[in-house]
Amino acid sequence: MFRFLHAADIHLDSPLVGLERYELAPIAATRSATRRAFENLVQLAIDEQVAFVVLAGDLFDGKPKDYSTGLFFVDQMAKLEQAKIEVFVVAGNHDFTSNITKHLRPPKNVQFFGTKKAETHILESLQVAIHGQGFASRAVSEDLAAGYPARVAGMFNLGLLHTSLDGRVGHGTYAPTSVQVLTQKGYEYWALGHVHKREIVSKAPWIVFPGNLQGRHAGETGAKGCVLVTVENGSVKGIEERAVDVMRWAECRVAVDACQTVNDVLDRVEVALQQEAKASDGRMLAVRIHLHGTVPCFHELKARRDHVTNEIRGLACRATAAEVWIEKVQFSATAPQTPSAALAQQESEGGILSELAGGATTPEELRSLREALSDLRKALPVDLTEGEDAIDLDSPEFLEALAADAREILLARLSDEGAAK
Amino acid sequence: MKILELHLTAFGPFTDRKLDLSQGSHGLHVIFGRNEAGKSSALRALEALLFGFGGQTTDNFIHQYEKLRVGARLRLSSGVEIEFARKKSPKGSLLDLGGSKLGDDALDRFLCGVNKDQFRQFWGIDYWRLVEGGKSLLSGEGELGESLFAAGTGLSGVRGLKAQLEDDSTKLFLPRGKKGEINQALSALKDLQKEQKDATVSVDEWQRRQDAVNRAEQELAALTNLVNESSTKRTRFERVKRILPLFAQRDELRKRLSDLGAVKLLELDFPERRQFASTAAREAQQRHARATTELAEVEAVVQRLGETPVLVAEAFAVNELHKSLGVHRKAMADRPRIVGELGNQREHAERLLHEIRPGLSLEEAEPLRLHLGRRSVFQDLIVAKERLDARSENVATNVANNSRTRGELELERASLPSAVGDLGLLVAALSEAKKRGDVENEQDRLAKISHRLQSQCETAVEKLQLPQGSVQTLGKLPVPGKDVILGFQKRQSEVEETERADERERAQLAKEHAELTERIQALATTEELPNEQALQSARGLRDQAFDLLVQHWEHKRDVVSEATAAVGAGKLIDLYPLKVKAADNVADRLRSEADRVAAMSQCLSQRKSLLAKLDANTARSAERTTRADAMQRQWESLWQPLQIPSPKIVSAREWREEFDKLLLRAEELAEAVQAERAFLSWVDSQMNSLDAALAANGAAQPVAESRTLGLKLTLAAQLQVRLEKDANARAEHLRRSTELAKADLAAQIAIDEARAELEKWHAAWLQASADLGNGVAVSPQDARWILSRIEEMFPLLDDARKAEGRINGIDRDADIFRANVRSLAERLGEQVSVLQGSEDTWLESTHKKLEVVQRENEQRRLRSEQLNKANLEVESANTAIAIARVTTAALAQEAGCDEAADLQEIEQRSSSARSSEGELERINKELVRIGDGHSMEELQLQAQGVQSDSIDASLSLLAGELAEQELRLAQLRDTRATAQAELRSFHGSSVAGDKAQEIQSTLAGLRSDALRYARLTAASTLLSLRIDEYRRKNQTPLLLRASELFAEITQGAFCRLEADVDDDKPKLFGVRSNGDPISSESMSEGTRDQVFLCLRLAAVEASCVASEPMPFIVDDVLVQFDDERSAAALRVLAEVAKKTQVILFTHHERVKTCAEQIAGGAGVFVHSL
Repeated sequence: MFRFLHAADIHLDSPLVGLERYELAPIAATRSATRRAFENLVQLAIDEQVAFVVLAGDLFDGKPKDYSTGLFFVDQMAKLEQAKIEVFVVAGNHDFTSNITKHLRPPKNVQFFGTKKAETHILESLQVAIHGQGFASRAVSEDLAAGYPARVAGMFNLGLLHTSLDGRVGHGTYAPTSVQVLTQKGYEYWALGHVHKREIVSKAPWIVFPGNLQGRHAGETGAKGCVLVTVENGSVKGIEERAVDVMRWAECRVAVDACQTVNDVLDRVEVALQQEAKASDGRMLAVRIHLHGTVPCFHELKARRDHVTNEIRGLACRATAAEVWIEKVQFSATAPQTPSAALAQQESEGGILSELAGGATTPEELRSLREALSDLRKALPVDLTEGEDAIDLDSPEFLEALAADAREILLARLSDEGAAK
Repeated sequence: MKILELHLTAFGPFTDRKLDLSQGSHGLHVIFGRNEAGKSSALRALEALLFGFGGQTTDNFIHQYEKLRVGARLRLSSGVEIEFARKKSPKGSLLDLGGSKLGDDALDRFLCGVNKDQFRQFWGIDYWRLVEGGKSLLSGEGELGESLFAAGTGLSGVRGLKAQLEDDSTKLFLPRGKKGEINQALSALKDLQKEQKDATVSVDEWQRRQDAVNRAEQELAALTNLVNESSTKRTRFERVKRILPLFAQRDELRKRLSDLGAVKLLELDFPERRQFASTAAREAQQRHARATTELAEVEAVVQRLGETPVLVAEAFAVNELHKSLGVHRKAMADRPRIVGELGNQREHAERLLHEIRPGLSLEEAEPLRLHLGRRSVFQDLIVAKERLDARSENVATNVANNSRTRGELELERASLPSAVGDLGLLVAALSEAKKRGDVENEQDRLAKISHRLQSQCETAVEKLQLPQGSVQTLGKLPVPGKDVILGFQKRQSEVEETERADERERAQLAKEHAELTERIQALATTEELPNEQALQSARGLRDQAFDLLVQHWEHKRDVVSEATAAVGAGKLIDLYPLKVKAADNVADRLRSEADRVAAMSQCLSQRKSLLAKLDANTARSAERTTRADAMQRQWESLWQPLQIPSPKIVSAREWREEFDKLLLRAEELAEAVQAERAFLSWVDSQMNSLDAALAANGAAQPVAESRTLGLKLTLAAQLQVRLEKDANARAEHLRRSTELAKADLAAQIAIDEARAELEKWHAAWLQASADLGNGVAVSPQDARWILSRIEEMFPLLDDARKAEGRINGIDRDADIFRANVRSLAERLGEQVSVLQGSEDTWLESTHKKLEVVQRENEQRRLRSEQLNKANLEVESANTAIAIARVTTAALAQEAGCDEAADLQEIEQRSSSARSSEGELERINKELVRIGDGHSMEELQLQAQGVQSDSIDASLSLLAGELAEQELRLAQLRDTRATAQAELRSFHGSSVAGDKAQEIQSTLAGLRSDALRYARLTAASTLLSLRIDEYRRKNQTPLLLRASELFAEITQGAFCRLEADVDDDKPKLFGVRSNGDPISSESMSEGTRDQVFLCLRLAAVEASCVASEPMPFIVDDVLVQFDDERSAAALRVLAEVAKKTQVILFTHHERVKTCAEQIAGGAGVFVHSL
């Protein structure tokens, strides 16, 4: 009987994205999160006295190419060498773009698989054959698995591969292959990497994505880490998921239905945050709050979104024992459509405030908006104007959404004025 | 929607008040209420009716929360009606006429979705919003869009909102600035990116550093080899330098050994052994000589001493006998004294025996010894007899004493007082009466308290001007409550506050008026300024002159008198050009002095405005006076029931506090009087109790005048003391009588006991003393004497017997001693017969002789021992001499010689050879030690051919080379250390990663700020666009309608409102009836307010056309309008009331009057609260 650790997508030294600083934010806790998670992995291997560790690609993050990252990796590997634990690594798409891998001088216990063709390492004492092949270029479009060697008879065969398999949402297509191809190889265990979400694709044979080691943005929620595999008599006896992340991401969806005031909303958020903090195993939390549902205080909520966001940040600090960083507060709640509200809407459409805040945005208004924001567009760095969550000041949809928010601001501020009389 | 009826069922000051607002198609309903009549409450009631009571309300000062009710009957334009009431409740507040709950949405279709804020904002206007609207026209500089928008929507703060949005967005971002938060974040981002780049270690750079380390290590290795070689060389030279002298010494020693030739090497201890043997031989010879001499001397002395005598053999017997000689002599000396004492003792004993038993010999006296054995029996009986006698005597004494005491008690009994009355009753009454302490003092104290409080209350009553003697009825007086007083004080201070404000304003206005007047005078001093009226007048005259000319010329009319009246005396033909010129002059001057004219016009306008304000101020003052009077009347009526002059409002609170204090004091007084009464009643009851107790104990009653509790207490106390003393005496007599009876009984018992014991004693005595008197009875005294004689006699007899035994012993010992002496003498061959009687003398002399003989015998024994010893010493010396000879022979044999004399030389040669060899070996060892592990042969080879003189030079050369190499080595090590440190500094640092993290945080902040900026900018842009759009859409209809209303409200001073472009912006102008456009900045404040009101009304009308009309609520907007304009404004409102119901609240009588005047048929209805 022996055990090994399977991890992937470590992305050493890649930063946590989207954490805007504010006064009460636990800044120190976010430093070097990926490094500390990797240290936890190494310590876990030592504590569990595993026979070896397999790393299925994307050790590094591609950019920037800081060799210090490589040196940190070497240091950690030296700890495993002292504990007589061997490490097997295949390079992933990010490793290729980072030229660190080529120049690394890891200790003797670390084996990088070649990139030209699949190789096999035999561990005689354990009767284990590990097959693997690293990425030779940034984008590998062929099915690497198909070229993996035939199983070594009488041994526990482990395939180490960085792949998008048959496609996973949100992940680029790399070394595509299929469960069928993998199964046909007759290996006992396929240690895959690339997909950041943990997934056991198959149990016969075992095909496993362990997920990445540390969540780095709001899309990578939940516990992150590796899997601890126990092998007995040449077959997998059990798989345990082990979290090694130091900071956890969570999306906290708070239903704010029937909240009459912003304070009611805050009360609900407080309860939700406390539950979330309890579930974080004492780790620091980065939380995206998502307010949804139909809410009577809708207009106040939308118009005072900055105030609400700040209040929630304060809550996170006061009301929870864990360190919580409010990454973002999303407002997708809607106003209730009661008969009187419908009448109000009707009145509003034909009435006074509709002059200001009602109706759709006209193309002319969109043009004016675009014009008014042209200076900002020029000033913003590329990181903000490109990508999934880009501030695209040229897109009509984006401008339309802005205009909708603007109308809420106007409605609320003008209503405030009316109420103040 | 129209409000047909408004029910103020229970709200604020109203109870079951109903307003019928159903008149007219919609109707302008003027609701008049004086100050405090509840105008504001009615307004709030209207809001509560339509939109519910808020959380907190101040309108519950008469009706409690749960009782608050308003109600109404409403009608939609479609004719649908609802009649309902509303109570204060967060839910289910709408009730039908029967009091059942209606749904919360029952009013929705009547309100058409308008909420409370919208209703206030759009369907209502008050004075302050009117003023604010006017101001916004001024601050917007007449910007048309904003003006129309503000008036059209009721949102007068739209301009402020625009400014606020722009201000907020500017704080975030300035396209060409640095201070905006986004600008700063962008700058910080650049810095961070640079820092990250700087902190990033490239692979090439790391490789370079690694190469530098490798290079340094290689060079270091090469140089280290070189240093090692030189070092080896130097070591060899140093070794050779060390071993060369040793090799020289070795050669020398080898030569010395070969010179010695063959040498017998003796054992190392050989010289020592030889020395020992020689010394032993010499000492043995000397001992032999000494022993021989001593032997000869001892033999001579032994000869001289001769044989041992016989006496020595009897030495023990002689000594033993001599030891007992002293004892023998002492016994012989004691014997005569003992014989004498024996005689005396026997004589004394015989005399004593004769006294008690004459005729009895000493030998027969022994049976008497028996009495001594029973001595203690006699003794006990004698003592018992003495005790019995003493006891009998004591009993007799007690009996006598008792008899005497009995007599005394009999005498006392006759003189004892008899017992009467009930002392317990007296004690109880006294104890109860003393419980309250000093009664007189207490009574006095209580009286003083009552008196003091009475006096204080009367003073306070007088001070508060209350009716005399009303102290006891104070609680029932209808004194006004504190809350009421506070309410009046608050109202009064409010009145005073507004009065002060008005006074300040009046002073300010007066000052401004004076300044203006002064300025107007200054403008008018030089020459009267032409004005529009003057021009009109001049032109009128000109036109009149021309008309007259036309009349005269064309119609041939006589116009002289008319011309004289109209244009002055003179020819008309001359007058006309004069008037033309005059009109031209005025026109020219108007043009040329336009500035002065304008200034004058402005000043006049300002003065008018000032005067209007002063009027308003005065009006307010008058109204305040009326209000103050009304309040004062209310105040006085409040105090009427008290029938005292009412205090001032300002000091009423103090009056009320004083009154409260008086109330407290009056209560205290009542309590004090009550306490005093209770005390007096208690005193009476105590006196009665005491009287009863005194009577019961037979005391005489005190005289009536002194019937006080104090006197009674004193009498009772005295009586108590006397009665207690008598009772004590009786008790004592009884106690003593009882004790005497007990003593008599005890004495009788003692007499009986004593008698019985005496009889018992006599029997015992007779039995014990029967044979003591030799058959005759003896008394205890006799018995004691006889016993004393017997006790004295028997010791004497015993001593005499001991003396006889001693004398016999002495005689026996003397005989034995003498026999032993004679036996000894016989053994020594003496004549025994000669000794008879002088044995002791002989023994003495023989003993002395023995001492002399024994000393001689000791000398003989010592010499014999010396002789033996000397013989042994001679033998021992002979043996030692023989051994020394054998040893010397063995040594010679060992050394290989025949003669002992050669031994010393052989020893010296052996020693010399041995030391040389030892030295040689030491040198060899030293060579091995300092030869750094090389063999002797190698060392010899190394030393061969080396010149010792050149070694130092070679060594010096090598040292130089080595020093140089070491220096270089140190430098190389430094280089390597530096390179390694640089390499290490890169090792695993997380700085670049941390910077990347900071960049992401900054980007996140930037994103959030950018979105915030975009939203604000979008809001600001949209607002501008929509305002502009509103203007475009509504400008024409709104302006048209507002123009009509404006002309009406200004009574033709302005004919319309107009939009025109100024500075590329559409702006609002008022057009005078003469066609002059007046910008909003140039309008008077009042006119601007009117412009705003007209725009608002036009918008309300327009809305009524577009959707269900709502009642338009106007709250006292006509405050600053003069009577004419107020009338005009009312007409305008009546105009609007054709489209929707208008409800005007006012507390100005003037407005009410005005409304009443235009009421007839114009749809205006006046209601009073």
